[in-house]
Amino acid sequence: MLEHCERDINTDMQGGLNDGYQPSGDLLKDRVILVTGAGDGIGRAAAVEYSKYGATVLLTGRTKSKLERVYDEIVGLGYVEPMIYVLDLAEVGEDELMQIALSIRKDLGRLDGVLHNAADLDVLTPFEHIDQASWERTMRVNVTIPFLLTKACIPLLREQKSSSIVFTTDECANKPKGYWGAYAVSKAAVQNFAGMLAIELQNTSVSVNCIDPGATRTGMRLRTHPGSPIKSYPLPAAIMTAYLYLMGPDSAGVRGHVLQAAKWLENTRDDRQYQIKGATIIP
Amino acid sequence: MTKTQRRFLTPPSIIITFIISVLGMEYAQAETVVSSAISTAGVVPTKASLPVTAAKVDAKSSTQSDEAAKLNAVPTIVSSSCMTCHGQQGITAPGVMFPNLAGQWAFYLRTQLYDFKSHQRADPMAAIMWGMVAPLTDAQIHQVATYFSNQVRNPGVSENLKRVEAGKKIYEGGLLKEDVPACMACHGPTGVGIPPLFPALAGQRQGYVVNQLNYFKLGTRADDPDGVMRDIAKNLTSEQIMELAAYVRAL
Ligand SMILES: NC(=O)c1ccc[n+]([C@@H]2O[C@H](COP(=O)([O-])OP(=O)(O)OC[C@H]3O[C@@H](n4cnc5c(N)ncnc54)[C@H](OP(=O)(O)O)[C@@H]3O)[C@@H](O)[C@H]2O)c1
Ligand code: HEC
Ligand code: HEC
Repeated sequence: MLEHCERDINTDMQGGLNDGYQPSGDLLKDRVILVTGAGDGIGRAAAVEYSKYGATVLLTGRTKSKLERVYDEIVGLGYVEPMIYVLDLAEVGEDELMQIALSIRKDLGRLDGVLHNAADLDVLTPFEHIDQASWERTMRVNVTIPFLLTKACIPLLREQKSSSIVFTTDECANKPKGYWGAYAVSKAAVQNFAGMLAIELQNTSVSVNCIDPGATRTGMRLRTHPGSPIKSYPLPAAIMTAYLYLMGPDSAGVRGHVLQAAKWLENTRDDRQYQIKGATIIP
Repeated sequence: MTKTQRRFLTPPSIIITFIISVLGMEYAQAETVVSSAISTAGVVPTKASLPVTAAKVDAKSSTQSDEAAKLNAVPTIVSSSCMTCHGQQGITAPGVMFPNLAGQWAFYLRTQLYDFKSHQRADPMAAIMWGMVAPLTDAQIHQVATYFSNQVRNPGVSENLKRVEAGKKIYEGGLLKEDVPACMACHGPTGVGIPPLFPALAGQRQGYVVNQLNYFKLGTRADDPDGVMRDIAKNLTSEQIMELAAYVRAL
């Protein structure tokens, strides 16, 4: 029998985030935050949430119509008007990323935070069935481009008194599981990269942390766990506490942590209790 | 809410007109790239530690290697001025709007330097170069042009495959209906140009190529002989310009 190969991450270390954490309404006032994969799932929820707390969000993602829907949703709710940039992480290169940073400076004047949320995940399959192109696309979208985007944005982020970079990781980054392929490898790489950046930037105004959202009711979850009781997972909107905390000034000094978003579930936005009672829900 | 009311971040092709206003930042960026490249190499380049580039040194023939060393010795004017924006070896920092000069034909480089000097090249970015060339003597112009033409060209990188493919079609086949000839005819099938008149485009920075094609299109760059590039560019859409720039970068 193969020994379990587990590297425990310290999940108690939640970077000072407390149970009763209540962000103030203007937590992100005047800030500019870039979100990748903002068109759907967790990225969409984070974009809406950041706008609600006063940030101008640069919505980036691969499908224009989805970004426009999120845009309209934010404006419809009366939150701060966002901005869109259609950005396919599988296609973009360093030149364009550097130019995006220039455009951010020109159009928005500043940048206070980057949420690396988009991720590529092909089918879960035994490794012999993964073809090279799929492997490389996953590593590019999940690791290489976030690295280059970070590089392009660093000069802008360093200009602010406090700014945040948040990477998205996954349980499989620390606990090898079968069949997760390049996705798991990429998440392990992302977590290492985030830790490395946190150290390199420790004496700057830029703090770098990771969030593991945990099982969440999104399209990705359906793809990775087909047939699983999808409605037994919380909605993205219910796990936003950690996302807000790390993006705002309350987490000043918190660097190099991995926060478990599901630990900070907002009960009022978790609809599963109604589900259990048999009420219909609109996800 | 209608589409036109939504706010979109300025796409790369439109930034150009604003480039002057952000130049301060680009300049600083290019400088850090250059200085960090030097510090990671651990040496401040001197004549002795110069990498030998385009002109290959033949160990057996000392006259030939002397020749090569002379060609590759960095002219003072390059290290004191041009390098900040164009890189010591004529390769600029990724993402900036400054053109690579490495491996460009010397005749073309000289022509451009004289065009800047006489203000005949007067596109929106040209003013930056006017100041740079003003103090140069004919001998210095000759020297820097020769130096940069002897450096190794920027290797091609294809970054946006869809655009690269679309660009290749236009580059090699032109656009029949729009009366756009194949770029290949003058800039060569591999983008290395045809001396003396037709410049190399291979590996050139996308941002710079997009700029130049727009300048030709708008007629603000008007130093091309017989308006040849203006005639061509006026029929290109901004998407086609992006595609051509992506392809040329890939060559
Ligand atoms: N859901 C979970 O249970 C769970 C668990 C652990 C970790 N995570 C992590 O949480 C993050 C968000 O996941 P999610 O569940 O919200 O996934 P999702 O619902 O599939 O959303 C992912 C978003 O990323 C975008 N995207 C994918 N590939 C892209 C590319 N090449 N370029 C640009 N955008 C791209 C998608 O755009 P389109 O909509 O246009 O395709 C989509 O908007 C990921 O990093 C994931 O690894 C999720
Ligand atoms: C402050 C930045 C800066 C410096 C320093 C600088 N250049 Fe330039 N250079 C530019 C820019 C910007 C352009 C593009 C001008 C345009 O679009 O009209 C350019 C264009 C050129 C071109 C035309 C290239 C082509 O493909 O058409 C040549 C040749 C050139 N520079 C040579 C030099 C030389 C030689 C020096 C040193 C004496 C120098 N430059 C110093 C910014 C700079
Ligand atoms: C008939 C010959 C001819 C054709 C065809 C042609 N070019 Fe040119 N191109 C020139 C010449 C000549 C110049 C140099 C202009 C000058 O001296 O200022 C030039 C310059 C350029 C430059 C500026 C280079 C620099 O370093 O500043 C770009 C970019 C360019 N061409 C792109 C294209 C593209 C893209 C096409 C195809 C759509 C094309 N050209 C087709 C003759 C041609």
